[in-house]
Amino acid sequence: MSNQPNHYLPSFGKILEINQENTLIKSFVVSAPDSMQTAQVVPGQFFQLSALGYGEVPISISEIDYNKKTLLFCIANTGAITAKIHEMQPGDEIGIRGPYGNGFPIAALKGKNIVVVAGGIGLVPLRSIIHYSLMNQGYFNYMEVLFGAKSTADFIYREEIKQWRLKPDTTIKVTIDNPEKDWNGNVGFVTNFLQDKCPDHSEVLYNIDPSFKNTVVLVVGPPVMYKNVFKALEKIEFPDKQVFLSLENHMKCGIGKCGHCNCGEKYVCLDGPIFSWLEMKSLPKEY
Amino acid sequence: MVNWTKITDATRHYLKQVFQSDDLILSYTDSHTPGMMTPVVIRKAEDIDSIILNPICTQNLAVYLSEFFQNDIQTGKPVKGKWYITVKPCDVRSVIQMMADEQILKEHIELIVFDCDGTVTNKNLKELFKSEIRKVDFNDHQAKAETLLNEELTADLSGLYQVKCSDREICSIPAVNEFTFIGERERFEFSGTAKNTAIIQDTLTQEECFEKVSAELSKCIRCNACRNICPACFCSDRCVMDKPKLSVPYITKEITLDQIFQYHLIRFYHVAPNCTACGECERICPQGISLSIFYKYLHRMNKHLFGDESGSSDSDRQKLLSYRFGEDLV
Amino acid sequence: MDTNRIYKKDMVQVFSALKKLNISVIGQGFDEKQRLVFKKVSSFQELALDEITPLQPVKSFLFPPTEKVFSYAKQDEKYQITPETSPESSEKKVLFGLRPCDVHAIEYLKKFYDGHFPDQPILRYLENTIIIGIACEHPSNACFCTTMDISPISSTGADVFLTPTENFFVIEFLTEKGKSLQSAFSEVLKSSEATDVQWKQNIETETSKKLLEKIEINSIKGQINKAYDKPLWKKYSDVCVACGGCTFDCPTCTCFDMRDVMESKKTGYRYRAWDSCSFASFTLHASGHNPRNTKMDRLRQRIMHKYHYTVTNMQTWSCTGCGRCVRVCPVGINTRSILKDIKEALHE
Repeated sequence: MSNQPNHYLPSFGKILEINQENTLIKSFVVSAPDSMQTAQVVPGQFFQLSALGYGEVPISISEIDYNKKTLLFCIANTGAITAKIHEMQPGDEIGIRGPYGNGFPIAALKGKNIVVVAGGIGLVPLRSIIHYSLMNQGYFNYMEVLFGAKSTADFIYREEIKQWRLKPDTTIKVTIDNPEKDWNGNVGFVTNFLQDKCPDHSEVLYNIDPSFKNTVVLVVGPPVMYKNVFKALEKIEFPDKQVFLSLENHMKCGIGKCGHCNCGEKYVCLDGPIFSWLEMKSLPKEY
Repeated sequence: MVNWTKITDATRHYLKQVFQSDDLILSYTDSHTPGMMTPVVIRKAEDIDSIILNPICTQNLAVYLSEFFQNDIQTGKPVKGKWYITVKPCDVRSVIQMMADEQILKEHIELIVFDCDGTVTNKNLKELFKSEIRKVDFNDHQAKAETLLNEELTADLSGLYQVKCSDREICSIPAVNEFTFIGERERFEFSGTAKNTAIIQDTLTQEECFEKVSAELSKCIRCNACRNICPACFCSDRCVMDKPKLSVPYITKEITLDQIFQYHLIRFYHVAPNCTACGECERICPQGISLSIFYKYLHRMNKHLFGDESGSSDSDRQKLLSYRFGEDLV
Repeated sequence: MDTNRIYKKDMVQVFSALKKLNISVIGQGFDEKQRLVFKKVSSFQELALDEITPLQPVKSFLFPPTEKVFSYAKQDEKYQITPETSPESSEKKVLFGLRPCDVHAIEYLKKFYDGHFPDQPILRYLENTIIIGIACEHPSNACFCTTMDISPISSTGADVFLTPTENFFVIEFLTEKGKSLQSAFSEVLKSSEATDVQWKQNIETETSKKLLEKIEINSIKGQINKAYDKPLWKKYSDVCVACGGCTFDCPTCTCFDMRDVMESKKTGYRYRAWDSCSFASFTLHASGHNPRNTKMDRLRQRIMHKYHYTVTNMQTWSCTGCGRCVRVCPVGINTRSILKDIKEALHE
């Protein structure tokens, strides 16, 4: 019992590089602590990052470089602790625990058509799976990324998106909520891509494969977006087992003890953060 | 002396006459916990018969008022009907103080004050019967109880009223607001006797006082119960204690003596101008801490230093307070 | 089962033997203000076993209300972490005279804090704790252990079990841990008589008479979530003041908060403190979104967690029917009534 490791103690990684993604978001390349088994990290998992003296926050992994043993985190400056992390400089040490959570069911996604639906900073955890497809050419049959942001100022990963567009078997569609002056692209909510309201494409899912058999939808965004996505998918009778999303409940311990992320019989930190829509149906609407 | 059956019947009768749809009643009903009543919110006329009034109606119902109003502000739905609230004479002050603090709108509230000889807590009852009770009934000063083994016990309540019931000043109804009185007399007179405790600050030196207060407070587990039951603590979810912020790094959620002291001192100085000494914080403390050491002192100092008597006027702003209705940062 | 007798007058020797073994004893007694509490006792006389259980649960000796997790110091841009282990956690202790409800609660804590990611600090406390259970003769008017399938004479989870009679206890050493205590008792153990098996049964009969009516909820075990959308919650959440008393005094509530304190520019520590699902801040996101925004959501969460979620996850109620939530509630919300209402709502 007590000769077990103390899971509450953080290890330390070094911040190697920091990039400003937009006014709110910075990305941090962090070298993984020696004790960490990076080979086991799965896209969709999260880590507990500490700014010691201020506190700890759960942050999804955006990219894992298995060779260099580095981790990429994209952190929005939304609270007191993330603000402190934003003040850190390359060379600083950052407290890190993890990886925690289940991650995307990578094995089950092999050979599938993947439709990634991201709302705003929801693209952060999904970047890990997009990156996975870049690193493992041919692992997925086809990938379509639908990214919606409030405005062009909220875009993240501009450079990466350009690169993703070059990749074969991958389509990227970007939309903003309201029209803007120098914007010629799509306007409207990202959920419109799933309905036939979208001006230049209709019904992305039908176009990929009208039987939906081999298609999986991965969606991350704010809680309201989930509601609209589910509504749209319900209309076209898309199978609920083939939809996965990530919950972002308040968390403290990351290991299923503190109780903050409890939602129904699930602990988001242990059983999640990735849930299928089917599982979500049995959960109370407390997310 | 109060005949509780008559009071209960008269209250129900009155409410049935005045109640209309959209109205709301705050009163007391049976809780199924022996020796305890529970507040009840009545929205339908047929539920009025569930109202029961007796000397274990200890809770101060004023605490619910600000919360309901805040709900209405948040949802943007204006209050439609009238709100009837049945209160003991001592609780009238809390409601009036909330009106003065612009936490509630007085035109929506009708006070129904019921006569009272003093109230007893379930802790008092336990002392009285020296046994766990299954059931208890009241008439006048008499309490008739049934023990767990169904033995019948009767006892006289008059010596066991809550400490606050010995303070005649708290019981007197300020003559500022219109209210309906349920009882046999118009002038309320306190007829019971209760144990009295002096304010310890009067008799002790500073060091002794600190020692005594520390001994009490070291029991605190910082559950926040005293804050959440307090009608004067209406910051609700915006309380500085809930979410320790970086801007106030000296507040943590630790349960150490200095943090406990800080919590109670901040809280009591916050509520000093509008605390009506209703004593709810002391009654409900799960750790049995005598919080009256603070509130009695502050209540008196407020009167002494500023000439303010909280709960005595529904329009005068207390001198220590200066915020406005609907203001974001209380 | 081997049973013995131990006379109450001989307990003096047991206590001094435990002292010699460096084992501290925690049991229910009165503090200096005559409040019934769990506390460290040095003699048998200090125990108040003929009272109901103290309102404050014994869990604060195993899972302290506040505890430092680690402290840190920064040196040459590098952090040094020192785990904080309180001396109490490795101190050998005996919980003397715990009622079956509280013994079950500790069983639950053990199960909960173990698992995939064991909570090492709390498990250390539990490892060094020996539980001496006692058959319950003095239930309160809020008790409902039988509703939660716990008998007032259940010895499950206890290392040693006592059955009280007027002059002596019938004592059973049940586990290896319990047997490690045998030496402290050995000098005063008397052999038991054939009739001693009767005592336990007598207590069960007598205590059952005192308990309030049992609510048959096994028929709805595993289905309580079906009451999620029923109107019954409003009645209780209307009057709940979200004081958190029920969770702080619950022997099976396990939630905690973790926060940092900076002591100087380079040093500080992380602590954890009890937290409660009744508080709005418990689930509040940094964005301002709150998954359980209303008092009703939070009250329902507490009930659902105790009576449904742990049934699904751990095949056990996380309630032992100790009645503390009922006793502490300042507005008279009665958990038994909620269970009754759930049952009615499901049978409609």
